[in-house]
Formats: sequence, C-alpha cells, structure tokens
Amino acid sequence: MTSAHLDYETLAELAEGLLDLDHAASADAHLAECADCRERSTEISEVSRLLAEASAPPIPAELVTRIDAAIAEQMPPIRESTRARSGWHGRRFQILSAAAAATVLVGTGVTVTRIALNSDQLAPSAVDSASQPSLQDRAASGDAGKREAEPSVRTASVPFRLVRTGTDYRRSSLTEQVRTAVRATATAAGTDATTDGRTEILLGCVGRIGQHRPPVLVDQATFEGGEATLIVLTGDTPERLDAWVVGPRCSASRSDILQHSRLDR
Amino acid sequence: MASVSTRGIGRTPDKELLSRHAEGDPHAFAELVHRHRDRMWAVALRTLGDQEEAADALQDAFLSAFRAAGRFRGDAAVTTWLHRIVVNACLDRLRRKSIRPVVSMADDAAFDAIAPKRPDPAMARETALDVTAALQHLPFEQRAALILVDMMGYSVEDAAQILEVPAGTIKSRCARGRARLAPLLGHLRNRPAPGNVGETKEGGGTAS
Repeated sequence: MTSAHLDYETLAELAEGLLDLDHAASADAHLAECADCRERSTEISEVSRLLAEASAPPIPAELVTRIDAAIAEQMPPIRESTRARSGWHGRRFQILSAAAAATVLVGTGVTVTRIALNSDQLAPSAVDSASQPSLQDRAASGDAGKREAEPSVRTASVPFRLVRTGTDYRRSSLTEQVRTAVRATATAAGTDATTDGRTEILLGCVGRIGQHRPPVLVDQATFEGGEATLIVLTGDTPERLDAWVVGPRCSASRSDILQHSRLDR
Repeated sequence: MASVSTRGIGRTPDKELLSRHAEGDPHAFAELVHRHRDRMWAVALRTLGDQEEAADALQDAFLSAFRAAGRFRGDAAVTTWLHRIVVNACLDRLRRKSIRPVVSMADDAAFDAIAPKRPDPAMARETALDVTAALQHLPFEQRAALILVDMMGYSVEDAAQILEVPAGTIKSRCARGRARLAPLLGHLRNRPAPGNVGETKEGGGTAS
C-alpha cells in the first residue's frame, strides 16, 4: 500500500465531498489499490440504505386520539364572535323549544326520543319537527336577551337533534354506529322532551365542540359502557362527518374527549 | 370569499390553515395535525427509539406548535417548521432525562446486552429495531441529521432548514453518523443468522 488505510470517517466524508482536493485525491488513489478500504466504503453507503429501508411502525391509534383530545382541550371557551364571517361563522346557536318527551320506534328498532330545546327560558313549547326555521330567522328572532344571559357561553342555536338512541358506542365500531345513528335519526318524527339541569351543561359542551359547525346529531348515550355523549358535526366536505364522543365532564369550558373519528356519511 | 364548508378544509394549504388557526378558527389546527402526524411520529420514534417517549414528545410538539402558530413567519414550509418543533421536543425530553451511559464502540459484549431482544425473526422488523437501537448511540445532532436525510428522505438543504444549520454542517453530521453506525450495522448486511449482533467485517484501519 502506498498510503495508510482509510477509516470510516474519512470514507464517509469523502463520499459527501467534504475532503479537500488533495486529501480526496490521495484517498481515491488508495481506494484504487485497497480492497479492504473499498469494502469499508461500501459499508458506509450500506448504512444509508439500511436507514432508508428501516420502516417505522404506524402511529398508534390511542396516540392519535390522545393528541386530538389534547388539541381539543386547547380550544378556548366560546366567546362572542364579533367578527363578520361567511358561512356558519358568527351565527348564534339557538335551541328550539322543548315539550313533553315521547318515544318513537324507528324501523331499525332504535329508540329515538326527540328533543328540541329553547334556550330562552327552557320552557316547553310545541315545535313542528318537520318545519325547521331557517337559520336567518333564528338568528334574527330574539337573540339579544339570550346573549346577555350567558356572556361567555354560546349555547347551541342551530336546530339540531338531541336524542337518546340507547346505543352503547364502541371504539372498534364507532364509525358504523355513527352512520346508523345519523340515518336512523334523520327521518324520525319524534316529539319533544323536558329538559333538566344537565342539558344546559350539555349545550355548552356541544357549543364548545361544535364551535362554528352545525351539529348534525347529539346522542346522549354510552361509550364502552360509560356515560357519554356523541356529537356529530358536518365534516370538512358535505359527504364527511366529524364525530366526537365526550364524557360527562364536557361543558363550555372543558372538552373531556373520549374518542374522535372522521367518516363518510 | 370561499367559506371552509364550501371549499373543503382538506384542500386548504398548510400556511392558510396555520393563519386561520392564528385567527381563531378552532378546526384548522386539527386538520394540520391530521395531515402531518404520521411523518412527525416517524421522526419522533426514530429520534428517541422508544414508543412511549416518542408519544409524549409528539404530543408536546403538537401542543407547542399549537401555541407558537402565531409566531410562524411564513418564510419556511409549515412542515419544515413542524419538523423543527418535533426535533426540539425530542431534544428537550432527552435533556430532561439523566444522561445514558456511553457504550464504547469496541465493546461488543455491552452492545449485545442492550440490543433489543427479538422474539421472532421478521427480517425487516429486526433490521428496523437494530437500526433504531444503533441510532441511539449517536450524538443527538448526528442522529437528527441522519433521520432527516437518510431515513425521511429530505435533501441536505431541507434538513439544514429544519435544523437551522448550514448545509455543510448537515453533510458533516451525516458523514460522521454513518461512520459511527457502519461497525454497528455490519451484521445486518450479511445476516448469517439472527442474534449475531457482535460480528462485523472489520478490516484494518483506525476506528473512528
């Protein structure tokens, strides 16, 4: 050999073009004559190949949920929106009036109790479920009083369905169960139900999770056997839904998210 | 002006999502997370070599990003910015933990002792475990550079942006990292049989 063997570091630097011209030239000259060093040089490029081929396990589902929940907890408590925005933004959420509870059995055997609520005084009044007033009407009619009543809480004002389907939602079958619930409750006639103290808190929760998106369905149910509420929002496109399962501590100031799933209708 | 609902948040560019988030749109950041979490998970896992640590670091990173969004200047890509936050979150975790004992490169017995046990031979998975374990022996800056360049496939320039160092520094760190890994991964090239962690084809020359 005309020169000393090349160590891994020199070979790696040579490969990256980091050696000065003289040094590189003598290294090349040595490599031309030395099989061992050529072998070591190959090992360096093999390192890159091995790194490139090493697969990473996919992100665990529990971590996805955990991060979603952590981000959702960061959502600020709902404040009055003073900015004019297009679409749903800036619309006040209102609740339709409530009356006596009744149960309607739908074809699938799902029991749907249909509840519509009025945030004015949470007093019962009849509502024709078939004719939902438009959002503009809702926003225009008597909002001012409600606004002052809960200055830091925007309770849901879009006419949405608050139901009790009796479903026990499960992590593994959530998307299918959500689809079923949405379809089952879409056509249910239903009548109205009385409200209780929990409902105020629930409405705050729905407002917090829903924010600027109109809820499609709110189902007071169970998740993996424990008390929970399913909140289904319209998704990022009309064919998509955004389903949130929250625990009993969900309120206007806290999300308490148990599961989050995006799905096609 | 197209609203989110008509345009579809799925087609909104990253930068716009970030500025919407900074303006108070409550769903914009969740969409960013949704888009990039797989890549960021790969970076965190490879950097820390441990699933639980990586999970914590990733959550820290996304929360950091959530809060720092207002400071994003828009001069780099959002993904560059996110990568940087993830790498820093990993570094923070390492700094907070006690310093691990350094294993000498020549100490095969010690390396065997800390190499992960493989319950069942599955070639690619074994390689991944060995590679990840070996990576943990590199100084952080070499590890981060190799993860971005060799594993995630970023250009030297992109990696330089992410780590906020000159491109030449990235090259140097990659070179030194590869040099350190070569003797540790020699067994994977030949694979005479699983479990022969210590055998390498060392030729002459000085160890680096």
